[in-house]
Amino acid sequence: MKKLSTGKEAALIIGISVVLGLLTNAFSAKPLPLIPSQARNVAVSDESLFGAPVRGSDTPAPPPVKRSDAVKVIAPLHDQALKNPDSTAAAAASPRKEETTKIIFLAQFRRLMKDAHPLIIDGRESDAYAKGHVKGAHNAYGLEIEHYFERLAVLPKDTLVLVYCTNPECHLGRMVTEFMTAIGFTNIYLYDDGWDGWEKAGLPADTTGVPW
Amino acid sequence: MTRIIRNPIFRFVVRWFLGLVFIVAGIEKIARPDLFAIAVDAYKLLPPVTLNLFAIIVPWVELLCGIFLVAGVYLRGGSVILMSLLGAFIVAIGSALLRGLTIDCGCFGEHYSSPVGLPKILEDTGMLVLALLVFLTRNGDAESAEGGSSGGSLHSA
Repeated sequence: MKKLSTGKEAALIIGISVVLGLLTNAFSAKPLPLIPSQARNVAVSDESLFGAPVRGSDTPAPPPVKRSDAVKVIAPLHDQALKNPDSTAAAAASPRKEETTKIIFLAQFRRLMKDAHPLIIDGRESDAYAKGHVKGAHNAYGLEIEHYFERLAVLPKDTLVLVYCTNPECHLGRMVTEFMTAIGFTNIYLYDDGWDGWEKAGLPADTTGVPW
Repeated sequence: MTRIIRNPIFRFVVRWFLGLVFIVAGIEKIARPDLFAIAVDAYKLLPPVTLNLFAIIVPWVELLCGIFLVAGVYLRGGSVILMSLLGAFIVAIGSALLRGLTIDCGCFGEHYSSPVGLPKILEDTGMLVLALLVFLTRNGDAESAEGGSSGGSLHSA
């Protein structure tokens, strides 16, 4: 083999890696966007949360949605998507031009919990969830959120969903909100201060777990 | 010590060990670049716009360096890259520890997750020394102590 200088050898390895990396990503079932879309956080005002007709805030709260009561056909091709969750998961993971995450704070989170009977999702790992979580929160690990597709897809798309993770540095909550937005949910809020904020406020930790 | 370092069997074992470690690390990350991007982002050291490119390319660099080390080709270039990567990993883990971050190392993909900590720094430092040995002994080069042809001393033996 032709002898190359150290620098040329290194450059060759890096060059081949760049080509192979870009090619495999391009032909991957779930390609990563080369430049990730910038998540945009939007703080939600009390007026838009409680002044506008957030479901249940001004009217008597409907009972929490049970799976057996849920509407099964929500959109065309929905049954087909249910049969093949991977296709929808891939579609949900595909890049979109702009991600907007609606952020709420502790007081808003607690008021919505009390008034609006939301679906609360804890995006952390099951171990962290088992040690303590917000009362009534379901666990859906953000990295495996596509596994919950069948459970989520049967819910009405305007269900009020409150998501939290550990703290603002945690990606898992955003993964849940982005996935649910991608599959059509329209009423999702991220409590960004997460479990750390909840604990810091001295609020109770529940350890009973809430089955899906 | 010099005799041990120049021992072809020792050098062969070092090359294969280091090569296989990086082959495994590379394959694990290539399988799920999205998870690797998240693990890298948790360090909060790279600008967000570079994360995905890093997660797409670096695992292939690791894999190719590993393959070339095992095959005994491009050893100097490969070992220089590995030293650079390991140095960067040590700095990243050290800075995460100093900042009190309790995050996953992201070193071997999703199946072998482990938290950042001193053991990881020691592991990487050990591998850095091994990569330095590969570079210094120029194992397989025509200029090496044994004067073998390029292509790996034990392979060509």
